[in-house]
Amino acid sequence: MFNLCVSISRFIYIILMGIFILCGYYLYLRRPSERTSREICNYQTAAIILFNLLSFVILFFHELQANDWQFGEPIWNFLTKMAMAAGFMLGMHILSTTLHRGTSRLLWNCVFMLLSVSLVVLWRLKASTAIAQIYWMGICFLVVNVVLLIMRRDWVFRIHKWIFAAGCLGLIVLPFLFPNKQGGSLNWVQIRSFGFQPSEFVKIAFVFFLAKVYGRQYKFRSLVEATGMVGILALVLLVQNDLGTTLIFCVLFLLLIYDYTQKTFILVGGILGACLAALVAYKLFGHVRTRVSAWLNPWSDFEGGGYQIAHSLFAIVNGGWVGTGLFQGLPTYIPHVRTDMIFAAIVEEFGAVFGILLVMIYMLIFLFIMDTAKREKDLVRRGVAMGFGILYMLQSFVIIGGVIKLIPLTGVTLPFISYGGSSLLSSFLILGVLQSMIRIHYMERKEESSGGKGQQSSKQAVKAKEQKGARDDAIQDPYDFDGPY
Amino acid sequence: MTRFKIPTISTDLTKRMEGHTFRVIKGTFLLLSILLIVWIGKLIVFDSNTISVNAYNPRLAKLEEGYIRGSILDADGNVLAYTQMNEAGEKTRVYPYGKVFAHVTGYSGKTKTGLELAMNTELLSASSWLDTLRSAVRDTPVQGCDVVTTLQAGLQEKAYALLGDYSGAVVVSEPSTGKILALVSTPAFDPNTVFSQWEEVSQDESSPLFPRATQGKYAPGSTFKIITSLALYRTDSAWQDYRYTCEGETVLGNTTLPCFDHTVHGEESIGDAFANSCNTFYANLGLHIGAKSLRSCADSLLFNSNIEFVLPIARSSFPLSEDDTVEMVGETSIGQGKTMVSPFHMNLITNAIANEGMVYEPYMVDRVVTKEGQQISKNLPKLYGALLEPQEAAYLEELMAGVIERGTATSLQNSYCEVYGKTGTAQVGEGEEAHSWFTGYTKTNGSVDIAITVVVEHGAESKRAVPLTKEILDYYYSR
Repeated sequence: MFNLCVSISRFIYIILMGIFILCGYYLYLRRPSERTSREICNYQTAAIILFNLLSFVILFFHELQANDWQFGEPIWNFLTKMAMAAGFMLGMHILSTTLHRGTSRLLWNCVFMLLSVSLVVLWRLKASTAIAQIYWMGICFLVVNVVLLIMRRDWVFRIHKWIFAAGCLGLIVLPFLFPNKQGGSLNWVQIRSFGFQPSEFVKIAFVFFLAKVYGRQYKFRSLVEATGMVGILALVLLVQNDLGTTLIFCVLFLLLIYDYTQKTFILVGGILGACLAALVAYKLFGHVRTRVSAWLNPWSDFEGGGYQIAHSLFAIVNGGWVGTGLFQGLPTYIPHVRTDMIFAAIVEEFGAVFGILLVMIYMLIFLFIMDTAKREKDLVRRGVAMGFGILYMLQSFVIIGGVIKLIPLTGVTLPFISYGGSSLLSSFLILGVLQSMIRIHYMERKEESSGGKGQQSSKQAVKAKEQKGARDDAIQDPYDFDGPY
Repeated sequence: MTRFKIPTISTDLTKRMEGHTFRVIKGTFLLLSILLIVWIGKLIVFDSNTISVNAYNPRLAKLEEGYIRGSILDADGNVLAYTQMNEAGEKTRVYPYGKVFAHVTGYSGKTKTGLELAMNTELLSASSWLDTLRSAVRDTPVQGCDVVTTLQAGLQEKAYALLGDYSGAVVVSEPSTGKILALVSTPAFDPNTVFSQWEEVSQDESSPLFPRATQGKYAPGSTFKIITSLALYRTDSAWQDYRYTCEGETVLGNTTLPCFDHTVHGEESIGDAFANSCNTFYANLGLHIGAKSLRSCADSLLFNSNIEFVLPIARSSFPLSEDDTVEMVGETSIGQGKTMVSPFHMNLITNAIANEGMVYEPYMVDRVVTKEGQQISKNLPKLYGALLEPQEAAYLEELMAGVIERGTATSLQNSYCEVYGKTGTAQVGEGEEAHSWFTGYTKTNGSVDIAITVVVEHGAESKRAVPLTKEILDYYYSR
C-alpha cells in the first residue's frame, strides 16, 4: 500500500514542479503587474510548501514502516528532526520575503525549490547528511543576511581589482599549504578537523576581478592582465585535478571578454584556443585521458574509469520518464551520489520529466540574472551579475551534462542541491550579492521616481531631468514600476 | 611585407550597452539547456533497453524481486522453463527437460543467457497495468508474461538423445516460414543446477556451456561444395559441359590432395562429382572458377556478415582472397582451408535452396502471452529476401537429389518423403577423427517440409551425421 502511494506521489511531484516552472516562466516572460506578480509568487510558494509536505509525509511513513509501524523513541526523534527542518524552511521563506524589501522573490523561490529538492533527496539517501545540510543552510542563510546588510550601498564594487586578484591567488594555493591527507584530492584544504574547497570561493573573487576589468574602457593592457590571471588559475586547477572548475573559469573568462571587446573573433578564437588547450591537456595529463575514455565508452573499463558514469546511467534509465518513486530505486549504488552525482539519484526516483524541469529552473535563474545584468547601467555591477549568472548555469551544465554522458564527467557540484558546506556557502554568497544588487537597483529607481515629483534642489532636478531620458527607454521595463519580482 | 596589426577594438562604452553580445550568450546557454533536455530524452527513449540489461546493473535483481518470471513454452504448450514459488515466497526457476533445452532457454540467476536473457523484458512484464495495480495493493509479486517458442519438444528430445555422447549440433527448421523446430547442442549443462555446479561446468574441457548450434564455428567440409557448385553455375554458362577426370588424387602446388579413401571416380560431370563428393574434381573446379568468384558467391550467401536471430549467431568467415595460393584455393573449394561456418548458418543456406531461393528470417519466439492466454505480441514469418535465383535453387536441388539417389547418402532413401542433401567430412587436424556433416531438406508431394543440419564432432569414421538424420526423419514422419 505504501508502495502504491509512493508511485502515485511521483505524478504529484511532477505536477507541483510543473506549476512552479509555469509560474516562474510566466513571470519572467510576461512581466505582469505588481499585484499579479505577487499572486503568482504566492502560487510558487504554495507549490514549494506542498512539495515539502508531501515529501515529509512519505519520509515519515517510510520511517514508520521501517519501525514495524510502532510509535517509539526513534519515531519521536525523527519527528523532532522533521519539525526542525519544516520550521527552518518556513522561517527562511518568511524572513527572506519580509526582511529584505527590494529583493527578487522569484529568485528566492527558485532557490528554495532547489533547497527543498536537495533536502528530500539527501534525507532519502542518508538522513544524517540532510540534518547536517539543514545546519549548513542555516549558516548560509545567516551569511546571506549579513551580505545583504553590508551591501546596502555598492562599496564592494569599488574595491581595487588587484585585491580580488590577490584573493584568488591566495585561496587557490591553500591546498598546497594545508593538504588533505586522507582523501588524496588536491583541491581540498584540511586545517585540523575543518575542511573546505577553496576553489568554490575563488570563483567569486575571480568574477569580481573580471568585472572590475570589464567595468573599464577597453585597454589592451587589462586584456593581457585578465588573460594572465585566468592562465595561472587554470594551470593550478589542472594540477589539482579540478577539471570541471578549470573549464568553468575558462568559459567564464571567454564570455566576459567577448562582451568586453564586443568582437566575435574573440569568441571564435577563444573557442579554437580552448579546443587546442583541451588537446594539450589530453596529451599531458593522464587523468584527463581517463575521463575522456570513460566518457566515450564507460562499459569497456567498468571497474575503473567508467564506474561512476555507468552507475549514473543505470539509475537514469531505471527511472524512466516519471521515476521509480521515493525509496523504490537503488540510487545508493551510484558513487558520490550525495555530492557530484546527485542529479542521477533525482532522475531515478523523481523521473526524467522532473530532471528536465530542474534544468529549466537553472535556466530560469540564468535568464533572470542576465536580465538583471542588462538593465544595470553600472558596468562593474553588470559584469558581476553576468559573471554570476553564467557561473550558476555553467556549473549546472557541466555536472548535469557529465552525469547524463553528454560531456566528460568532471566533478563539480550542482548549485543548491549537492551536499557540502563549501559549495552551498559559495552559492549563497553569490545569491546574496545578486539580491543586494537587485535591491540597490530598486532603491535607485525608487529615489529617481520620487525625485521626479519635483521636491529636489535645482542641481538634483537637472540631474533628474538628464536621467529622465534614460528612464524613457526603460519605461517598457516593468521591473522599475512593479517592484523586483 | 605587410605589418601585423593588432585589431582595433571599439572603446565606446555605449556600444556595450546595446548588448547584442548578451543575446549571443543567452542564446548559447539556451541551446545548451535544450541539448541537456534532448539528451535526457534520448537516454530514456533510445538507450534505455541496452543500458538496463547490462549485467553489471544492480537493478536487475531488484526488478526480479517484484515479479514471478513468466514461463517458456514449446509450440505444443510443453513447459520448458517455469518459476516455482514456495509458501515463504522464495522463487526457484525449474527446467523440466534438464539438459535438452539448455542452450535454448539458457539460465536465469545472477547472470542470464539464451532466451532468458533475450526475452528478459517480456518474461518480467505485467499483462496489464490493472494487474500491476492489484499486486501493488496486495503487496504480492506481479506475474510476468509467457514466451511461446516454435520448438517441438519431442523432436528436440529425439535429436538430443541421438547425439548421445558425441559433441555436436542439430538444427531443424521450416523453410516455408523460417521457424526453428529444434536447436540442439551437445554436450549440454543442466540449467537447474548450473549455479550450484558452476566451477565444475565452467571448467569442463568439453565446454558444455558453449552453444555449438549457434556459436560453434566449424570447417564446412564437403557441404561447402554447394557453394562451389553455385559459383560454377554463376560464372560459367557452359557448366553442363564441364568435365574432369578423377584419378584418386590431385597435385596442387606443393601438396597432394586425395579423394576420400583414394577412390578413383574417373571422368565426371558436376552432378556425378557432387553425388560422389569428389575432392579432386572440386579442387580443380575451384581453380577454374577463381578465388574472386568463390568469394562473391560466399558473401552473397551471408558469409562474413551478421545473421539476426533472437540468440547471437557466430559470424561465419570466408577469408579467401585473390592473393591466396593455389593450395589454399583448392582446399577452400572443398570446404577446408580457413572457412568457418556455424551449423545455424548452414541450415539457413539449406533453407534458401529448399524454398526456391527465398529465405524467411529465422525465428524461434512465436508469441508472448499472458498467464490467462491473452496474446501480447506475435511474430509472423518475415521474408528476408532472395539469396538465390529460382533456377539456381533448382540446379542445386538436382545436385542434392543425386546425393540421395546414387551418392554418399543413399541410406536416406525412404518411402515417406523425398530427401535432398549433402554430406560432409571436415578434417580437424592430424590424428584426430574428422567431423561429420549433413545438411538437407525433405519434400512430400512437391512441397517443402523441413530443413535439417547435423554436425557430429569426430564422427566421420561412421559418417555419423547421415544415420542420425535418418532417425530424426523417421521420427518426424512417424508422428
